Amino acid sequence: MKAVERYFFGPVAAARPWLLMKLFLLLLAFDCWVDLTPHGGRYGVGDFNVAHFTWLDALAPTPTPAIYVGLICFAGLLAFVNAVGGVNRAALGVLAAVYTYAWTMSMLDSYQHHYLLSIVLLVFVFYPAVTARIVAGADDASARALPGGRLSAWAYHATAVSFGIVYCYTALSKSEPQWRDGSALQRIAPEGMAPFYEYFVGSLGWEHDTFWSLAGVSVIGVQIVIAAAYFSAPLLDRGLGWVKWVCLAGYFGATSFHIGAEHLGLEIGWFSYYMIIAAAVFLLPGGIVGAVGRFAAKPLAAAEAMLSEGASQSALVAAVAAAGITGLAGYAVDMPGAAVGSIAAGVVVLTLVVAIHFAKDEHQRPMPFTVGAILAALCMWVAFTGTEARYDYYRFVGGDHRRRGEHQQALDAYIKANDYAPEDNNRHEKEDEMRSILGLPLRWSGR
Amino acid sequence: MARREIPKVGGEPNGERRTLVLAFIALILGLQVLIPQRYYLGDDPYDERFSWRMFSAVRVHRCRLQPTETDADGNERVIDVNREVHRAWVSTLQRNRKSVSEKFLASRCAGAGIASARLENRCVTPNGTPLDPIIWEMTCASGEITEPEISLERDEP
Repeated sequence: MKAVERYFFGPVAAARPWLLMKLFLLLLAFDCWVDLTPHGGRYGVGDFNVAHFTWLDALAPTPTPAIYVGLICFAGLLAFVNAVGGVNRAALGVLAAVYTYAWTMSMLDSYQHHYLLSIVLLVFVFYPAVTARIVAGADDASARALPGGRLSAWAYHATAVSFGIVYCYTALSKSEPQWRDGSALQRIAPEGMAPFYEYFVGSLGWEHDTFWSLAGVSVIGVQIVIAAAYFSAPLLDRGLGWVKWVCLAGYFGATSFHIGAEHLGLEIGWFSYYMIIAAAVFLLPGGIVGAVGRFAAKPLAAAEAMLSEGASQSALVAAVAAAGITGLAGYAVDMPGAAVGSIAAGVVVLTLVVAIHFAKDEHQRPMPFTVGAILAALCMWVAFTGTEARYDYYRFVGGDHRRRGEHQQALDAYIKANDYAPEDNNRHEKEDEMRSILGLPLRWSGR
Repeated sequence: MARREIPKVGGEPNGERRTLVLAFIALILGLQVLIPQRYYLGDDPYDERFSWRMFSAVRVHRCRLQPTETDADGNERVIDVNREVHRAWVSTLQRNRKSVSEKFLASRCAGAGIASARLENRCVTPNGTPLDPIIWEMTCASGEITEPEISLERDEP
């Protein structure tokens, strides 16, 4: 039992949990806005839905595009506020619940990494309240930090073990015959593997079967190494030489594996980026992670110090304005549900600021949350206007209505898609096809 | 006046809280170890959710879906499934997801004059081995569903 306690309560560099939480939340915010919202149009089509759990099917309303996009915009905003503004356990709990509901409400989202992110978000609630000033080593924060910039963070170590469990099971799933003989890999990524096949089989003269079998088995080996590294990661900052080498092997294994997954073009959303961040934070030596943490924390520490000086009353007034700006940004996004989700996020931040104001907690200041909310609104707006998220959303919706013979709805969606189309891609032909079917004047033909 | 001690960030939990934390760690990590076992101990090889089986050999089975329904006069017709539900659900049906198949059949039976509805999936493993057809069938009057016994090994004649 003592060994278990030492494992979970032993020290870790303060920069690690701080960096992991900040980077994951920041990535999650943009993941929500840019990668998830475009798929919102598939919810509720034909009034058909199956939730991940039967009881949820019985209790919850049939999801619609507005419900999904609203929840995802809300989750993105709340993640950003906690990444860039202040961190609050209640807000993290709400984020974990809303994000989890967003994928559990329908089997349309069966990405297993969303389940992993739900676990991580839940455990974030229990992370120590490390501030940028502590990570940056600011003098005024030293009274709150433990000696040597290290701390006890059982939830952080539990996250490492969670990742280890994931890689163990992933290795187990690939121990089946059709992974070991390489036929599964051959089917998953024939084009991505082609250059390697050319080199090993074409140039070096390997047998076809030998190449695919080795490729399949090597994936299992890499995942076992990565799992071992994550299980060792809680011991990394405790001066044990062998742990450093296991973790380094795991780091290079994880990074190459997930870069490889991106190269192979697997449809796994932004999963690789989360795992590359996790590998760096958990598995690189403390000196490197500490230096990166200090570098990233210094400007945030300066902002934290500046924002902490502001009067609480002015933060309340600013929070009302921030809630308004958040709602406006949601409205400007022009996607169903975005405005409601954004207003709800603004209300949550306002409630939080009011609660902090009246609780008079000397270690939480309301202004960072307020400023975080304003920045979140601006970044969400930039995320939607600077990417093809809205174009993708509306063209997917148009395509679905077109397939099902709903021409007027398809036309409405294609008009929107063309409003947000990038320079090198559009749905002009599809819009005119719908106009032609509906007997309306063509808009684009002949231009 | 005595000065209030500033609480340290990241101190070890003590006393009763320490016990609670250890219990919580055991619970969340224990669940993460146990939940994937539902796949390995269960009888549904196609439901890989919560089991960390990303890109498993089962996930890359390719299946051809043939949905049909029969009216009260015994006339069978093929359901144009792409017009009835979103294409993403069609992919889920092709992956033999039990609850989705059942719900889809129930939704067909809710239509007027339908006596039975049927889903047939013909799947091929990654190395090209065809599996026995996987067939789900609902009798609308009783709501009874005939579920397939799914085996990933093809029955030899």
